[in-house]
Amino acid sequence: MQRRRFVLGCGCAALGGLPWAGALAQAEAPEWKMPARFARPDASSDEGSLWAFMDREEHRLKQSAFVIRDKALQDYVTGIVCKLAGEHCPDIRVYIVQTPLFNASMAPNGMMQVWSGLLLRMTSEAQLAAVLGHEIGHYLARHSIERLRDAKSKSAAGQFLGILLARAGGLGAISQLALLAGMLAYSRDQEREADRIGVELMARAGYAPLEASRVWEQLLEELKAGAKDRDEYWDESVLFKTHPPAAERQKVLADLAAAKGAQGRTGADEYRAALAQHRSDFLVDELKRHNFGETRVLLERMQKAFPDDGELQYCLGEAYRLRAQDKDLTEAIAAYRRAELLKGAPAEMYRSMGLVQRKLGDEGQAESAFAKYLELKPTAPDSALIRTYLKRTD
Amino acid sequence: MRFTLRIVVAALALALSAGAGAQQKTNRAPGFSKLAPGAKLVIMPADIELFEVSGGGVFEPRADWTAAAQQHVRTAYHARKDKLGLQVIDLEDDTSEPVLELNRLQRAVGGAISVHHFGLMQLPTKEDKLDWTLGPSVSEVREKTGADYALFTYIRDSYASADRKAAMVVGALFGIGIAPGAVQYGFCSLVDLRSGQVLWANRVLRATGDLREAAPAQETVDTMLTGLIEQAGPPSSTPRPRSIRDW
Amino acid sequence: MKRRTLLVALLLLALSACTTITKVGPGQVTVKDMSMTLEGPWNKFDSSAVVLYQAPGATEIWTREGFNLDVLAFYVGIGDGEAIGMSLPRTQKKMPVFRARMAPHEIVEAFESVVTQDGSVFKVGKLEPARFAGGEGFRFEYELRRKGDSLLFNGVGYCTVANKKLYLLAYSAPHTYYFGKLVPGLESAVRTANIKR
Repeated sequence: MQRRRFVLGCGCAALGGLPWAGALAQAEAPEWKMPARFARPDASSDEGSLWAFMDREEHRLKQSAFVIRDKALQDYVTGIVCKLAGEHCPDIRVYIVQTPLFNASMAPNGMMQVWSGLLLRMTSEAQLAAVLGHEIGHYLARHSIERLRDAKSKSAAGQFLGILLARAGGLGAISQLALLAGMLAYSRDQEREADRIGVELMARAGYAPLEASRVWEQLLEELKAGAKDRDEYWDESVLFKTHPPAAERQKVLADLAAAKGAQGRTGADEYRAALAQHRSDFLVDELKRHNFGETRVLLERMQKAFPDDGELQYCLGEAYRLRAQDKDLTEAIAAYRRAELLKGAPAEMYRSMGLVQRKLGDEGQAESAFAKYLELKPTAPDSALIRTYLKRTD
Repeated sequence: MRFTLRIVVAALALALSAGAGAQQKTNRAPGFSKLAPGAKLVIMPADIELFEVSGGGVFEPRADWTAAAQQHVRTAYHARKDKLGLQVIDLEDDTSEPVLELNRLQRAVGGAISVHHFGLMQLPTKEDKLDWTLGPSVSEVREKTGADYALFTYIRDSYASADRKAAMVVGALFGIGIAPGAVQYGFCSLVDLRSGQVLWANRVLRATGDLREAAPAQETVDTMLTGLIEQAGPPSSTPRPRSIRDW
Repeated sequence: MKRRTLLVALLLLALSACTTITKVGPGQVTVKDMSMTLEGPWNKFDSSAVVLYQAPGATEIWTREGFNLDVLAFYVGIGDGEAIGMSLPRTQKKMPVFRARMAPHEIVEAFESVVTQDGSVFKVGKLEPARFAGGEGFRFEYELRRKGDSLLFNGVGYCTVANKKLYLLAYSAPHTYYFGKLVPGLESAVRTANIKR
């Protein structure tokens, strides 16, 4: 099934430019040199076709209502890309897409996509830089054209069509880029190379390279917890089938970072500030995935970093409330109670509290909670319905 | 995905064998008889993709073919402006949100017409009429262009490569039918920019046609414009398409 | 038209031999044990062979302009402990289960999870008590942005629990022009809905 080719970070480098000596096979290899900027390939070449195809995909992407067009966030992410990509900066265009999954990808024509699920999961600017650096690594090393030629020579039947139709089959959550990205899934060697370049770019830009390893550590923890709930339009096994195993990757990145020296900026505060406006929306989208294993691990990690954040406690409560198995309802109330003592939980928390207490049979408590919600939001669009909850006696 | 490919090809085989070209469904909205002479028609940016199908059934997008096709289709429309009796202008891409949303609606309405009017899933309540509209928000386009009508085009076209053709021949020797994987699908609609009504639409689904060269592209466009213009005489250039896709 | 729409078109072509669309109304129509009186005709989709992404696993699906435009989805007669809706092909997603004691908010959350399996984004608006099908129930409004083609839809839902079973109707149509034009017809039909209790 082709979906398993949807990879994390399928960047696609393309045309022109000198293929830099892929000598970075081992950590002791000669210093990596950034290639010169790429020129547009000839339209009749296979690279040119791929490039032009991606131009049209980019044209379509621009028309999608799922692109987040907030200039401040766009500029922030683009700023990181430019720190990493140096002179290639003008060739790269960043699109932030509302999809609550961990992914970033880059096309040979310079189009980069970053999904909101990724932004939610990064805990520092350095971590985001690690992922973006990896994508830029694929682009700079021109991995995509290697793969395209490899795929064609193998004449893997139905590969292209299969991908195109798979996407057309309605699982539109995966953008066309990710689709094509899946088509050009990288080999493990290429993934390793992208990791090495990514760490190099991070270090040169002054970021702490060890954060790259943390990205994988965090993701791995989430995926293990989410294994039971996985049921959605993102086939998680992709990460493991086409990438070196996460554990190996974590180690390799840690080693590379050690070789570079662990100094460097993390940028946790800057990152949090940049994401502040969007975090609530991203959290809502995350909860709606109904993958509680992953969501819980994510929220607990965020809570460790921000223990006084009431919104995070509220979200944790929501995760329990929506799963509603075994002791979840009690856990939900506990989380809401913690949120109540902190700042940042929305008025909806009282509504949720009321719903849970009602299910637990605490009618009195439920009524207080609903009343509190109405007090805070007397003209809420569901206020009339909440009032009927207050009248209910059974 | 091979399964899906088989379904698609089977569907096309079914459609084609069920009397393709014998277009029994009307192309015109109720009450639409002819275009207002001298009125202005805006050609909306066409959505065209051309593919090459390799021996193993790999559909590869061909950017050079697509670029050529876009050019040829545009030229072909303009070449018919006298027959249409209209002034013809092109609309460059507009990414303002109202026009974007209108384009999204148009694609969806086009899909509905394609499936429910020209296709085999008729809606009994429509009573065989071509009766769909985009609504009054078409005024966005009318205001920007001053046009009275808009023409929307969607084409997906594929061509067999040499090894594909060879595979078909070899297969035939052994009694193995290899589906051509080469199909032209085109959908075209004309919208009244005052009411939003889809005045005319046509769907072309066939195994011939070639958009990579100017003359056969004209033939494709003329075929798509069936019901809107009279044919230009005998199908003179039923040119031999460059890639033979008979099966 | 996205490739997706093309493929849907082609798939529908292929499966047309196995599916039928029949006219319902005007007059009285029943869906399981729910009845309605229609002023005008609608089109009813008989086959379950094709899953409609906007209404997976519906008991019945009606339309006036086409299934990728306006959809009236019936989720009716769903018993306590039964799944609401069905998962999309090739996913194994677990569907929400109906419980007779579910609060209206929870029913809406469940409905949302069923119709957003393809990544579409759903936003509930007004949520208010309402009489429906001869009993106490609720009505809700929503917006849905379809993932496949970014088209914006408005929707309205009516729901009641009767005989410990769920009766939910959801109607959606494109925000541009269609919803405003078609929803009065829908609401006049809904007013006549009845369930054998």
